[in-house]
Amino acid sequence: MIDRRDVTARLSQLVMTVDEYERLMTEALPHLLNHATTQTRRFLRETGQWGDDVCHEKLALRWGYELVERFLMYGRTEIPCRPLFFLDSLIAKYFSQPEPFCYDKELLSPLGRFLEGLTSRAVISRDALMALFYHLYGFGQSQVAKVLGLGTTETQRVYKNFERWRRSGWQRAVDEVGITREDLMEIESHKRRYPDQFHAEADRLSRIVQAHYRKSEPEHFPCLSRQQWAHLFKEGYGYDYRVWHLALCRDCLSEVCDVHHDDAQDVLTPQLDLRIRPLSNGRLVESYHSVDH
Amino acid sequence: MEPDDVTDAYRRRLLASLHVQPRLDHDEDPGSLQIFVNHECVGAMECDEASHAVASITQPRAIQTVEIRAASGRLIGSLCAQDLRMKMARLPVGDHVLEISIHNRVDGGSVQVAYHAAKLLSKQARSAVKDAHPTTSSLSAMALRAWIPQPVWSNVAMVGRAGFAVAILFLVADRLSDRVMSLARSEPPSPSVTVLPHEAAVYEKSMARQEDVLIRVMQAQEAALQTMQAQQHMLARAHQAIDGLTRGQSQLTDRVSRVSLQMAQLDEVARAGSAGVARQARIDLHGKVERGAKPATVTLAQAMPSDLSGAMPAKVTELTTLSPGSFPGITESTRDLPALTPFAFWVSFQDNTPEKSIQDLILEIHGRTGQTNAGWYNVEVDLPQPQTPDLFVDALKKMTIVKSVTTSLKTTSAR
Repeated sequence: MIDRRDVTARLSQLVMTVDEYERLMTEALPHLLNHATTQTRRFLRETGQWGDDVCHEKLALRWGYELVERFLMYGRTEIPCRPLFFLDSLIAKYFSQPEPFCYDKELLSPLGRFLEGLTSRAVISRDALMALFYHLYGFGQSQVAKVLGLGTTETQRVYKNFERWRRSGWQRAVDEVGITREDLMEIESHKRRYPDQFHAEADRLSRIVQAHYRKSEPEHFPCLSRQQWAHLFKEGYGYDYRVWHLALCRDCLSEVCDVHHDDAQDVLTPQLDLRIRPLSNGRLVESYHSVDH
Repeated sequence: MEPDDVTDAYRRRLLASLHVQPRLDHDEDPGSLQIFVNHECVGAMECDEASHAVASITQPRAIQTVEIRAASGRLIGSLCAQDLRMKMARLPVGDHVLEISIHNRVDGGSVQVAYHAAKLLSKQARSAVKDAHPTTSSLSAMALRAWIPQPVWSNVAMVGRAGFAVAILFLVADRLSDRVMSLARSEPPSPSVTVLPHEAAVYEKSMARQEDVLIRVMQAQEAALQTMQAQQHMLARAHQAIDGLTRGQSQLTDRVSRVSLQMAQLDEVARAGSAGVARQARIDLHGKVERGAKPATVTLAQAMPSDLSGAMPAKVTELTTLSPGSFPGITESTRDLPALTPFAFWVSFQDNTPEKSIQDLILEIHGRTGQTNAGWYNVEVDLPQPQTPDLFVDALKKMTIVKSVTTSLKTTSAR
């Protein structure tokens, strides 16, 4: 085991080559994760969003992980540099953004963490973005293609997205968000026993989460009026816009479905119908493979 | 499970993810790449079939970070330009290369992301190896790709494909070893360059750019040097012209002083001699001065180099183009000659003086002869203003052939 002070000292020294950087990063990954987690914890404390429990510890770990993930990639193009100083600068810059995290006490429940983790993943993964239509509304691939008005090529990509998500995406997202098997079982149990209450809570939490992550879209992706949506579909443009915005905005999705109904198209009306697990070849993924749990 | 155990398990899970991050597996198809600028997704780039794909993004805000993620969300490339105006990076993505360049300006920033697929040949070689072993696991396929595969004698076509793959690998290995050996012979070891291929590419590119800049600076220096030399040459010629001008001026001064001296002598002669002689001498002198002055001024004009007019100041140019035809001192003095006063007198000559000598003298003094009376000749001359008739008569009486001069025949001879 490498001494913590020794690693900290080495991380503070100037790294001159990529080779040296790679070696150091491999050895110092646990220390880097600790460092980023500590900084995140401090930020949450200073902003009055901290609580001494497992949920908060997991949040700090997850956000620390995301910062280190970026740091590992950015650092390669910043050589020569002092890795620890560079990581600190990245963390400071990230925290200086308005509302860097989606934090709400109600989101610390298993259902809240699941919804928040799924949506945050959708921001960086197109597979997860497409999967949101299934997890939130129960749309299949063909239904997604119809709602979004996609052509043949784009529809094939949707199928690819769904397939990758079923195969590994969902599992990885759940692992990295920190949802355990127990958490999943609790959510499913709650859904079975109190369907109305579960639906109401999921509806409320999903709106909080979607409102936060919609801000991650570029500024030129606002909500459109019904006429504007109709024009967009009629003229056949803005495919990225449709996918990104409609996955994260339930009101606009309803507008679009109404537009399709006006055009006598067979599309489902979007109603929240939360699905926890993805479909696997027509069946739900019932078994949960976890490495460490 | 205890809370600490849950946290530790989660931490181990994240560390495991970080260990495989952020490289793509060699066999993973990049597919659709998502581009994130300042943590916002701004678009996607399709890299399925295309050998090259380029995406350009311009936005009114400065660009601090660019991230490229696969459709699965995996981070495969990023670039950070916190305070820099321009930055570029070439990142390997499996067998392919991703190029990210950021350009920040005052009014915003722009990003260009270029995806270069691996060479078709290497793809074919790889697919040949894959086709030859369809049932092997991915790990064994990787091992077989690195080394010569075991012969599969049952299928001739498969053996042929494998042989083709081996030949390609051999050629590539041979090429690489040659390159490594030539590098080892020609260059000292440089860890920062030889660490990773994309680092070497970045290094080479930056070196090439610096070399270009250096060449441009050298060209600019050479041009500046040539301009300085030309200006120096012009300056030398201007100095020569000024020297010529100075010499001309001194010659002119000499001649003017000589003319003044001669004029003074002429005055003396005029005072001592006849008015006609003085006048003739003055006229001769005037002609001499004019003839002397002209070459002097021509010399001044010729002293100026013909190609210097552009480089010389306007005043100097004006000086060189002045006409040398007139010479102020001489012409002014000619114009200022005093008005002539007619003076008539009677002159008698020595005995036996030939008529020709008499006429020569009258011609010399520009006299106009009138009637003759008993050996006396009536002559009229024009005297210049300062010269008095008495002085003229005195000068005339000194002539050897002149016997007597009188203004009136009624009076007695002055002699």
